[in-house]
Amino acid sequence: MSGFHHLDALLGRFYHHVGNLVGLSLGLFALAISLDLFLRLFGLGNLPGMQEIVEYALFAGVFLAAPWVLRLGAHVRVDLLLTGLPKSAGDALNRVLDTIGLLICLVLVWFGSINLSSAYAFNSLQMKYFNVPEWWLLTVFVISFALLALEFVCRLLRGGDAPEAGADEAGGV
Amino acid sequence: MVMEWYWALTLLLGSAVALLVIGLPVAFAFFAANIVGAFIFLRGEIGLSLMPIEYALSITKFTLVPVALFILMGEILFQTGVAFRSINAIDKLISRVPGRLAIVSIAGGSVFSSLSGSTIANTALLGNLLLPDMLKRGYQPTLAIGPIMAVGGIAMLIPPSALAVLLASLAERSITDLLIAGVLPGLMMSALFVVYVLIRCRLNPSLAPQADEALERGWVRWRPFFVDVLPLFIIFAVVVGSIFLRIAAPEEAAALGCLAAVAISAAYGKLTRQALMKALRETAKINVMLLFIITGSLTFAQVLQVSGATSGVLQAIDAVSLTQVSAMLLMMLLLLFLGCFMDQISMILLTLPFFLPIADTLGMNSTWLMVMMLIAMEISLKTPPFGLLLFVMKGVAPAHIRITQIYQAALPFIGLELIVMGMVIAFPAIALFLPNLLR
Repeated sequence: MSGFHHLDALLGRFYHHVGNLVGLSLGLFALAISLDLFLRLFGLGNLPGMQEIVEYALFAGVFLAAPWVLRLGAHVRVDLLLTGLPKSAGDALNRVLDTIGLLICLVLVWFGSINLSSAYAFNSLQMKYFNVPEWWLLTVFVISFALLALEFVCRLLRGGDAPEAGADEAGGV
Repeated sequence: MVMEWYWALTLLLGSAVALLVIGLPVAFAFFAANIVGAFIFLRGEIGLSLMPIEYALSITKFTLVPVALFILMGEILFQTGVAFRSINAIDKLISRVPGRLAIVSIAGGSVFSSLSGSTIANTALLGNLLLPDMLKRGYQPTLAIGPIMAVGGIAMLIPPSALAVLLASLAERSITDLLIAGVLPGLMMSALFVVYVLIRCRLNPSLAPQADEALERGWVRWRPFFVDVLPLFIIFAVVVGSIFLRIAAPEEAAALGCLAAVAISAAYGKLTRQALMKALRETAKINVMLLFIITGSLTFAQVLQVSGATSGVLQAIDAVSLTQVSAMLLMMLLLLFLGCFMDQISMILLTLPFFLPIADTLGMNSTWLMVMMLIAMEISLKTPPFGLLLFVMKGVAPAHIRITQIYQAALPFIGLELIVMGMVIAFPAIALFLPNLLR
C-alpha cells in the first residue's frame, strides 16, 4: 500500500470516529436540554451553563466534522455544470474546484492563525456563563481548516469523494 | 475602498454565484466571496484576520440546536422502520377512492411531515415505499410520482421544520412564530393535492386503475391505524403542543421530540443500537453540512453592508415606491427564479440580507415574509431543471422512469402551490392567524 493510501485509510478511520462522536453529541444535547426543562418544570433548578456548553459543542462538532463531510462529498453543491460535462472535462473541473477549495482553506488557516495569536496575546474572552478564551475557539477553527486543506489535497490525489458504505438517500433537509 | 453600490453588489454576489454555478461547495463559495469582500471593503489584512472569530461565533448559538434535533426525530423514525409501518397503516385505512395510493401518499406524507424536519427524508420514504407499488398497479407515472414529490416538500412548512428554524434563526426573529405559521399553508396544500388527485382520477380513471383488493373491515382495518399511526401523534403533540402551550422553547420542544421518537421506537420493539447510531450519524452529517454553510453567512451579510450594497439596494427600492404586496411579489419572483438552479440554503443566504431590511423598511410582517420564503423554497424543490426533490425521486424511482416524466409530474403540483402562495400573499392571515392566537 502506498504512503498516500495508508494515510487516506487512516484518515478514513479517524473521521469515522469523528462522525460517531458528533452524532453522539447531538443525542446528548437532546438528553441535557430535556433534563434541564424537566428540572425547571418541577422547580428543581436547572443545569447551570448547559446552554453554553451545548453552543460550544455545536460549534466544535460542526467545524471538526466538516472535513469528514467533505470526504464523503456531502457538502451541498450546485452540480448543474458538472453533470452536464463529459466525464474527462468534469474530472478536470473537479480538480480545479478542489484546488480553489485548498487555496481558500490555506488563506483561512493563515488568517485564523493570525487571529489566534492575537487573541492569545490579548487574552480575549467570550464572557457569558463561562469565560471562554477566544484562542480556544480559534484553535478549533485553525485545526478544522488545516484538516479541510489536507482533505482537499487527498481529493486531488484520490480523484474525488470517499463515500462510506451504507449511506442512505434520506439525508438532507 | 470606495465603490459604487451596484459594483460592490455585482462583485460580491457575482463572485458567490459564479463559484456556486461552477460547482464549488456552497460553504466554500461564500468563504471565497467573504475573503474577496473583506480584502476590498474591510481594510485588507486587518479585516481578514478578524474574520475567523466571526465565523466561529456565527454558529455558537443555542437557537440553531433545533435544526439538528428536528432532523434527528425524523431520522430515528426512518432508520428504525417505524415511519414505514405508519404509512402501511394509512394504506389500509384509505379505500374506495379514485387514485387511492396517490391519496395514501399525500396522507402519509402529511403525517410524516409532522414528525420529521426533512423534505428529502419524507420524499425518499414515500418514494421507496409506495412508488413501486403504484407503478406495478398501472398508475400513470406522472400521477404516481407527482403527489409524492409534492407532499415530500410539505415537511418544510409543517412543524417540525429544520429549514424554518434555520431561516428564523438567521433572521433573528421568532422561531416559534414561524414554526406555527407554517401549519395552515401546509395543510391547505395537502388538501389541494387531495382534491386535485380525486378530480383527475374521477375524470380519467385510467390514470389510476382500481385494484380488486379484498377490503378489510372493522377492527382489522382500523387496528394498524390505532397501533402504528396514532401513537406517533404523541411526538407531534409533544413538539407543537409544548411550544403552543408555552411549556417549552423550540430548542426544548425539539429535544423532547427526540426523546419521544426514541421512546416510541422502543415501545414498538424497533429501537436497536445500530439504527440509533445510524440516525445519529446521518443527522450529524446533515447538520454539519447545513451549519458549515451558515458560518460564512454572517460575514457575508456584514461585508454586503459595509460595501454599501445593502443600503444601495434599499435606496433603489425606496426610489420606486414599492408597496408591501408588490415588494413581496418581486421577492417571490426572484426566489422562484433562483430556485430553478440553486439549493435552498444558498437562496436564503443570498437573499435574506436584502429581504429583511426591505421588509422592515416597508413595515412588512417578517413572519409573513418568512412563511412566503418557505413556500417559494418548497416550490423550488420541484422546479425543473434542478429542483432537489426531482433528483431524489429519480434516485428512488425505477430506472425506466425518465427525468422528463418526473418534470412533467411536478408541474401540476407546482401550479397548486403557486395558488397557495397567491392566497397567502392576498390573505396574510392564513399564515399569521395561529401565531397571533399564540400571543
